[in-house]
Amino acid sequence: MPFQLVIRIVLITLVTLLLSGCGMARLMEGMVQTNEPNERMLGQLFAVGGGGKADIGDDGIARIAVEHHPEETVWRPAVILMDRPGDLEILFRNRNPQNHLMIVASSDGGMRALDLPPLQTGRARVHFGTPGMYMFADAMGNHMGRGMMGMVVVGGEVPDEARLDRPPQPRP
Amino acid sequence: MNRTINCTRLFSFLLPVLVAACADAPETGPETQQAMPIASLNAASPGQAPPVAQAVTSERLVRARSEPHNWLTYYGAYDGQRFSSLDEIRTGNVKNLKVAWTFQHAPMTLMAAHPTYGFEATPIVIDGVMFISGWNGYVWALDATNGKLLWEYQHAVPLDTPLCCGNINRGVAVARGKVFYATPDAHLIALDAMSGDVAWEKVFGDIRAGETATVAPLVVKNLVLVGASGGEFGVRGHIDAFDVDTGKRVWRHYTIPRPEEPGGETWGNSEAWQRGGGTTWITGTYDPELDLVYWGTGNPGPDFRGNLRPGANLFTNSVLALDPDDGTRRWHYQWTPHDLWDYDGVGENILFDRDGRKLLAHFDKNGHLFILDRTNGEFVRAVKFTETTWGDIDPNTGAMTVHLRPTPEGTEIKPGPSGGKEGFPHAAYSPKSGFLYVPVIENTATFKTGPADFKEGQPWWGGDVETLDHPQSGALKAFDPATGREVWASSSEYPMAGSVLATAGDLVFSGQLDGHFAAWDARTGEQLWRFQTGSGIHSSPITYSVDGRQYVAIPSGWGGWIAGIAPKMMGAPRGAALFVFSLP
Repeated sequence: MPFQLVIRIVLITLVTLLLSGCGMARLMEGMVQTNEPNERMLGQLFAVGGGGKADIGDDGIARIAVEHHPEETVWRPAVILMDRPGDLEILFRNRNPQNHLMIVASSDGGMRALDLPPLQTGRARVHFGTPGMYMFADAMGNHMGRGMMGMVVVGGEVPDEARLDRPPQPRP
Repeated sequence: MNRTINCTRLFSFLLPVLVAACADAPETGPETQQAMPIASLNAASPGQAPPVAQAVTSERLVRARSEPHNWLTYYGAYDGQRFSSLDEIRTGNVKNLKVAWTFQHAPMTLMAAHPTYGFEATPIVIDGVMFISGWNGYVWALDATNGKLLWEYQHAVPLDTPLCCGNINRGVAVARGKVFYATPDAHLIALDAMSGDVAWEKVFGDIRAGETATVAPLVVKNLVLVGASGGEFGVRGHIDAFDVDTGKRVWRHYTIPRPEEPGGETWGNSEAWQRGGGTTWITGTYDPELDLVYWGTGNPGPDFRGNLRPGANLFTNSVLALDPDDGTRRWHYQWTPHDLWDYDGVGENILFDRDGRKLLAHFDKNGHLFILDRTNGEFVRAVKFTETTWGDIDPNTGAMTVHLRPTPEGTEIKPGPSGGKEGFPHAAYSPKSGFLYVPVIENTATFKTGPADFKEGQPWWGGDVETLDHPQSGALKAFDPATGREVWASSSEYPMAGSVLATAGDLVFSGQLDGHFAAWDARTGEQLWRFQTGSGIHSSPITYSVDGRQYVAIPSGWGGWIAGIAPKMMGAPRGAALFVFSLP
């Protein structure tokens, strides 16, 4: 078999697999039935934008990008995981012809507001000082009620000096 | 070469197809937007307050009574009397009180314990500037003459904060140019009093272990003192002291001793101390002459399963007299040994003198008013101030007799878990009338014991209480601490859950859960004036003056532990507004 033909077959197979992979992903989303505007309301059910982990850079700041795609009312990812308390930088990419007004909780200077015009990108730097769950939401119209909210889940522990002086206790 | 060209052509063709197939959205434009603190997007707020707090020294706090135009510290003064010598507003003209200004705020997103948020803080006023905390991490500086927002701070509170009873806060402390604030997730934050910027921040509780905070800090000398909440989560209570200027922790006092420490023998179980409770969620009082801080402690854990912690369970449900410099305990008095009813002993300890004797008054959740000698904790007398069926305190010796305990099938007991008076709100004492004034809750609950499997950070009651199906009401009562005599009582259709303010105008102010803020004649109990604020009062009124004009301020906003205090008001209007009144 000529080498050129082999290359062509391999490439076509690869492309076919990739295309079918994309199609399968869409098919699976459709099967869940929560990821598209449904018949009873024009929004989506809560937090179906998936999860993503914020990577901590050399400067100690965790970073992640979230996007709003057309014909969806979720942020992807909608759940951001941070390994420990600290600074988080979220890049909000608006790939949708809608305006958004992002509200992000922060312990450093209070709640942040980010105006996000259609097809624009914006950055929010926030700080979370305690392990736990923090919200980000779209304050435009009722985007929040229609699914455009998300959560930052911060792991880790409080500083040792703040912990109780007692033996380790069973956790759930 | 031909192979390379062909492959390149193939990639050139396939790559756009691939991208088009998988990417179903247009690319975004350039990064053009930067997030801003939302507080900076309020053109009506200058973001700056006058430098009134710079000169608030510990000496001024000791002499707070000599500055009646200010409300310098949580109770107005270290003695916890909640009394003001201002008398422009008095019995003869209180009917003319009108709203001078209001301040409102509301949540912008979901927040921790959203259905329970309330406005419970005590405002601090210094030379025309008011500092007040709200729910969900808010602190505000306001112009005390017109309510203008000078600056705003917000701390991010995790949605999953293990709040037992509500997203609320009791207030701030102000000294040496800083505003001290304990967040719901147990951070102590020092804010620059002029800008609201963070000067320092320390974590003093473990949210993963179920610790939180609602307390208003107390500044004593060069230290700022805070207590933590979490008595329903099996924590080990403590009081912490931090350096005012640097935030360095100077001491921590655990309220539950280890087995080898004094009091450790009162736990009867080698592990019970580790989860003993005894939390410290209400601000203490301070006697500068004796140099003693009086701080209350909460219920033992688990709340209703006493068999897991046999013994008196020191130092829960007690008042601790502490050396403020190092946290050493000088003496203690336990109001309810081996508590089985969630009758925290955290409530205020009012310091007053009578017949040359230095005394301390405490209205306990167990339904009894206690009078102690505050120099040494010696029992003076006890008086029942509401109906109790759980048991009795001997008025002459303080000895406790228990009649009713929680049972697996449930036992009806008075008072319910909110007590005859909650740990919060607070009573008052008028040195002018010589009377104590107390907001009273009359209720019953069915107490049940139940499973008590402990997991850190999870509620640990060892049973439950049913409150909804029982009658409930309340009263504002006056007592003579010299004799224990009830002087007057003004009944209320609902439990009284607002703190009392006593003034030299012979008035007492308090609020009711139907939204009325009212004034009573301090000597007769006759209600002289009231105003409908629109939401239940579960907060602490204060009074102050600016340029000779007296104001009375009250936060309105029903929330907190509604199920325990007044379950029949579960559906009453919520809200969050500060009302300030003055004469026309």
